Amino acid sequence: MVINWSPESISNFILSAVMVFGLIFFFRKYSPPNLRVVLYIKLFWFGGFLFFLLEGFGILFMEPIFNQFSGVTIFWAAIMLVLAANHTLNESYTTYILVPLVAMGPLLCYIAFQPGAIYSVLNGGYPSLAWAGLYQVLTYVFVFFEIFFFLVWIIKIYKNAPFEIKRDSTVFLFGALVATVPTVIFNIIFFWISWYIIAANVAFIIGLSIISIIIHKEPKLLFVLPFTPYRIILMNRQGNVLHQHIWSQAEFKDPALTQFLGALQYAPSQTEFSRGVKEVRFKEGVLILHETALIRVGLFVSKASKLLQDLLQKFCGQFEAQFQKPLTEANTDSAEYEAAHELIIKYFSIFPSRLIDEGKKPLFLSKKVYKIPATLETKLREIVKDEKALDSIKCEIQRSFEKGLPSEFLELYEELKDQTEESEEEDSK
Amino acid sequence: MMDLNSALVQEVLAVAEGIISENRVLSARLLYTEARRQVRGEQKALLAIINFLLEHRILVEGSKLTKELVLSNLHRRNIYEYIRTNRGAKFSTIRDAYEGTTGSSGQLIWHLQLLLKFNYVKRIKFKRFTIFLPMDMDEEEGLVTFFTRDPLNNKILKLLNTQGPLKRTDLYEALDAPREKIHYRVKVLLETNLISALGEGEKEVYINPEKITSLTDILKKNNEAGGKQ
Repeated sequence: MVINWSPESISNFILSAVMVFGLIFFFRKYSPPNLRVVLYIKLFWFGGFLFFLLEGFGILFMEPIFNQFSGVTIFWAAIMLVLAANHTLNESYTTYILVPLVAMGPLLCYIAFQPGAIYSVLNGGYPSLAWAGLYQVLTYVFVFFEIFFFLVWIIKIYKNAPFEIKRDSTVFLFGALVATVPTVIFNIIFFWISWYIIAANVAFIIGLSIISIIIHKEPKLLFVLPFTPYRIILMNRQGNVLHQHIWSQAEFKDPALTQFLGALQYAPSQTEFSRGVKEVRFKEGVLILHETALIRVGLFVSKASKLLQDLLQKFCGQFEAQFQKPLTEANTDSAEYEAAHELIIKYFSIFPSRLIDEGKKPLFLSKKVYKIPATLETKLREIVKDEKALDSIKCEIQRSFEKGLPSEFLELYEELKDQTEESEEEDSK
Repeated sequence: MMDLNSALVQEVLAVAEGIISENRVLSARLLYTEARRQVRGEQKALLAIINFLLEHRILVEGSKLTKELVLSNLHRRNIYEYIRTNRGAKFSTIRDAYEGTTGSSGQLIWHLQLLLKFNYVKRIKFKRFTIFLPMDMDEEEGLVTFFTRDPLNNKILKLLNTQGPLKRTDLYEALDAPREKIHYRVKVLLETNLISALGEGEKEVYINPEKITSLTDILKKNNEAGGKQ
């Protein structure tokens, strides 16, 4: 058997290595509990890895059988890509895009194993194998479809990405552009100049490396979901809030929601109005409620989601198990439940925080931490004894954006403090 | 677990304080950008801190204090309404009216300071008194109104307005008040040019003809207001 260490076969092996390392690093680092979409992403990535590996082996050993199987992996990867992308974007696995893919897939697999599907060529002076005839047409349809679909997915991720991951999503998009645009151009040129397939592979290696590194750095990139989680509130059955986590400070104007949350909080423990998972729809979103024997949990999101229901159920199960002791003792000290934050991170880590995106309104430091110059603080304390009023004045100093306001106030105070009704009488004497 | 007292959180808070002290509008993005520049911390760590500060309401959303928002404070709105309806009120009068509600003189002065800053009211000084006027009120008219708010001044001016020039002795007789008080009021009214004097020793006083129209209006308004009350 001839071993054909050509640049094309080597570049294919490098590509398969990049994909397999990306796969290992990403999923070792990041594995949200039981998300089916993660499985599809894994399978898509694995399909890509197999494709390049088989292509590499085919050219290395000049054995068409590898290239015939690589066509099958293209079909596989396309299906997995559509399932994964469609689920993250639309939270649904079914889409009309699957129809032509599923229709063409068996044809591709059939034609791949027909005589004449693969033929020998010289690429840049090295022997190689190329797809031929209808097999070539179909594989290119699948390859270009995958490239296009992948790019659209990443552009949508980029568009929806919150500030927290915006920078990473820009790099992600850049990597995708490097991996796809030159690949498409070089693959088209390849029809006339055969060694361009190597250039296409090199561009793909660079782009894919960028993508793998950035996904490894920020796995949330793959889960820019089509909805915004706002907050999760954990209560015991008596309605005491044990823990709260906020993803988005959206203002809820719907009074029904406020009333409902109030009712939820003060509902007697015997009321079992939401045992299991329930959804309550409001103008501004959906409240997914889960009630167990010990806790009531409300997850408020912009859109109903099966994925969230599942995650909430699993989260509640673990929360109950982890905090069974304080829960059964009816301990309402929120400090006892601080570790719930880590549990939220574990179960809902796919949601990037959107708090930073909501930068339209100015921010101020709360009275807990806002400090004014010590001398001013002392003077204000002498003038305003009431702590609440003092806090309010400090807050207004912060919000006024008027540097001279405190000194003007002190001047006015000096002017007015001794003015009394009696002073007029004194004057009149 | 992130802690408010951790060094990096405190550094980010110091950046936020710096932005506020420079009178710049603080936003999460600005804080992040500045923190990236000034604090040695990873991008993710800084983002996590800002999220922590937002989530724990250490950084709170709010609105810049604008002219409209200044009146959203109920006490301040009441004080403003008082000044509008009691034109030419001096500080001690406002304070007496304010005493019934919650709040100290310091708080009242703070509210007045904001009403002044945001051009809802203006103040004029007369001798030891600070007089507060609605922004649309002319200062001279304000001063006249201030004088007419005093019952004795009001009586003197009414008398002069209805009866024309009067000798001081006639004034002392006509008004039921200690002579020295009347003497002092007349002196002040002369000083402020609201009335003028005639004759040797300025024994006869009359309303300054230049002021007569405005004074008549104000006295009429006072009468109407008094009638309504």
